[in-house]
Amino acid sequence: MVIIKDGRFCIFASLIIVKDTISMKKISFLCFLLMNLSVSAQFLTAHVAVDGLTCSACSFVTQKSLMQLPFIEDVQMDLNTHIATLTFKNGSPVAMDRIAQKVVDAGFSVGGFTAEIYLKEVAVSDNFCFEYDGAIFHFIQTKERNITGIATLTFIGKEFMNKKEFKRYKAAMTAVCASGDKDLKLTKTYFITLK
Amino acid sequence: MKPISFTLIGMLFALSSVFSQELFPVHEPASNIPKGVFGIRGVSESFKEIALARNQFAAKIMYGITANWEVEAQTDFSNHHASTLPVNLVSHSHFGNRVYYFTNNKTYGIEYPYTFGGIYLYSKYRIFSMDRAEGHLRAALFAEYSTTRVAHDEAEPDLQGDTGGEGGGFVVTWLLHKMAVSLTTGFILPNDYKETRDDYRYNPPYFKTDLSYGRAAHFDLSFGYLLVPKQYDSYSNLNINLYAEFEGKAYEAAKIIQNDSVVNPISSALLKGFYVDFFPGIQFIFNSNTRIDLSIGFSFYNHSYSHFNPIYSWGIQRYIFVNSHKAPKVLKQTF
Repeated sequence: MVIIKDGRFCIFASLIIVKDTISMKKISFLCFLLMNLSVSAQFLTAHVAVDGLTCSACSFVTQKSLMQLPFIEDVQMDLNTHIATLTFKNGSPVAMDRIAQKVVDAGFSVGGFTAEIYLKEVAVSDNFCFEYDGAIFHFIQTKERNITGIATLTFIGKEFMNKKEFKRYKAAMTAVCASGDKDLKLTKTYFITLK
Repeated sequence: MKPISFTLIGMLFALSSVFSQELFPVHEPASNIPKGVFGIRGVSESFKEIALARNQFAAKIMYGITANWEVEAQTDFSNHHASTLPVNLVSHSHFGNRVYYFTNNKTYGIEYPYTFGGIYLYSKYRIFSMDRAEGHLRAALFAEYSTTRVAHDEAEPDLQGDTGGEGGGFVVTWLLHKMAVSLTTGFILPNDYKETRDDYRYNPPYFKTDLSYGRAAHFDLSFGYLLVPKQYDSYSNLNINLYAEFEGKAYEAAKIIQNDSVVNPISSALLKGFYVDFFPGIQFIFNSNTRIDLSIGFSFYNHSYSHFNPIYSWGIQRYIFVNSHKAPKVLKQTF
């Protein structure tokens, strides 16, 4: 359940919901089996910095746009810092790329994107990956560490940050993870980091 | 007396961006209405022409097809034009920016009924965006088209109420914190106006006029400033924006063909011209959506022959959100 490219190991973890929190099991070689299990997880919140606006009418249309997403429970906009705090419906799969697209649809850009997730005894490191709702979440530029608790994941990509910031990560964005389950179609890889 | 047309009529409608300071009352910014959102706008413009009050009312609907592409449709209703061209079209006199018609030394009383001007369509595509925190630099191309066909008797074309035809141009808008600056350059290629009236002095007994309006280029510079609030508490904070907008327009002389003969225009209103109007304006935005714009247009350099100054105008605009799962909560927190 492992590896794909460059001889680097990529370990998939399955996520199991325990009420609102998630316990993540890091499974090295048994992972393949577990990948066949129905896996769902819940991001708790996301913070989206919206670039290109000043006034409250702009924040208003951005908020309206974000609220069209069916998995969003609530959006709170800080009208002075232009950071949107999103909470998600319990149990709904969350698509981070759709969130970023809604900001663009409103006429603006995403300047920064973070999301909170509960991790329990997870050893993260560079190129550690997990799978969630058909997408791979791939850590880059992340120091090796064990995490238990709420982790703030910073999303990396053109659609998730400003150009200047993106340049810092661009070189590290090489997809080395893939699903161990060939029947599972993974359409998206999210590059993330833990700061 | 002569029909006076508006230069800026529907331009007041030209609004779709979502930035307070670049929600210019008179000109369009480079930003667009959000994807999937409708906007509606109503505008009233009035100026006094000697003893006559000239009014125009326009209604506009806007829609964001994508984040970069918006379309607008507008119709207007005004008492700016007579039902036919003046009898002495070629030589009707203008004094200063006052317009009279004389025939046989008598001032003719021409009636100016309220009529629908036509349908005006506008489309804008954003081609460049550089966003940053509390700022952006954006550019857009626009195209416009008007079905207007009214007895407009000056060389100056205006697709929003006076002349049919096409136009296009380029907008660059820079927003930084509470300040916005926008530059628009564009052209107008007006359609001809053709009229045939019974006149038994001729054989066959018709008097035909084919009036080709001058092609025009315009250069518009707009400044906007978010005055209030200094700091936001909630969406219900009243926004007050100040604007200073300049509109420069250069147009060619009209070409007139009457009963198949080319006739040289004499009236200044039919010759080429260039003028700049200045529009100070103030805007109030309620609940971060409903906009009320007030502006007054003054002559800044030369003057238009197709409208008098000052032009008093006010507009109201609102976005309509569809497919929204729920209304955003109005924040009451202090940041």
